[in-house]
Amino acid sequence: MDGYLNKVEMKRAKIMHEVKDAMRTLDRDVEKAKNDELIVETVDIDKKLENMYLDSLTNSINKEPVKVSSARNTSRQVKNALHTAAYISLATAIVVLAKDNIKLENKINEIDNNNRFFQEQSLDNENIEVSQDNDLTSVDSQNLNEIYNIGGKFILNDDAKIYTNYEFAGNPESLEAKMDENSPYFEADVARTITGIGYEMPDGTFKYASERETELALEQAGGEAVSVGGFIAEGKKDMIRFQMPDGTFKYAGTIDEELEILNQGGEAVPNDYIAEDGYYNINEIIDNEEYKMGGR
Amino acid sequence: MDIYTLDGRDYQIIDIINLDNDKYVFFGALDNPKGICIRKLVEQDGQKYYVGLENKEECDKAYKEFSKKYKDLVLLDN
Repeated sequence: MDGYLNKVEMKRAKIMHEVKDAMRTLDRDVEKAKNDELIVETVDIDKKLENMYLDSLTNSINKEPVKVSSARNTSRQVKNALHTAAYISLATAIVVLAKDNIKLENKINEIDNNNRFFQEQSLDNENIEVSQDNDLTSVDSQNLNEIYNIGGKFILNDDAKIYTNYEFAGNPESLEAKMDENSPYFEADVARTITGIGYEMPDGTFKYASERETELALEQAGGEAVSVGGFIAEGKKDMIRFQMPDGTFKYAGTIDEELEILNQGGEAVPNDYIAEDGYYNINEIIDNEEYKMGGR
Repeated sequence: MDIYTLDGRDYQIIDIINLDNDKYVFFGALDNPKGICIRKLVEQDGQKYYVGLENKEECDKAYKEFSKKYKDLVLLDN
């Protein structure tokens, strides 16, 4: 994995983190709506992203003109700035896409006793709703393509599970084929299929599934999905590995930790625990002595 | 690297997006990676300026285009 891919990996881990947070919030809101037997008019996205978005609005609207020629040229803080740019490109994407698809008239509908539903919504705010009786898998990839072609967006199914798209399409290949479409949740789910889902088991341990078959087995064993992607270890941390100037390694589980480590001179490096097929193996992470000793 | 001071805070230009015959300039704060703002590049009396946007709708429009641009990079798999 070269330097460029390191950055890609870091970016992917970050977007996973944000997507996971947003989806968890969404899950909680959906469950609350069901329990309260309410129709939710608006679902708030993660508060952190919301604040970031609102701050950016405040900092962008009705501001005094600044001369382009007023720029100061400096080479300092280049590293931070580059990291800033990388982070913002991700976070902004999530914020905006989440806004489009959650905040804009997103309604979660109460449904019949079978509790099977999903809702489609287009970017241009033209709602498209498709109802299926009991079997989402009866919607094949052709239907899916048609929906996407007219601007539809997948949002949730009845269980409000983060891996719903997988079941919905009934075929992971159809998901792969649609990776370039403009649906954030679709993308999020595709990304999830790349990095897998982490499960918290009844005994408090964490297991990891990169295949649907494994997911089902873990669910049947009482596992609860707790992460869209990335790593899950003790403390449910998503981790990015950094090499420090003194040669040691540190691991970041949050954006703030990443920034702190970067400011200490850390460089994101490939994580040894990424298998050749691109999937993380949580057992390797937890069992690895270096992780136990490394930086946390 | 060009640094601009906007509202007393130092920013770096992250990107410039062309949209509807306008250039939207995205700034990232040097002191906080979550600090972002947008300006529009305008030319007046032979001088170029970064001016604030008019409203939320214009911001959203710019953000949407920005996110669209980076979508593929973000989701690029190795």
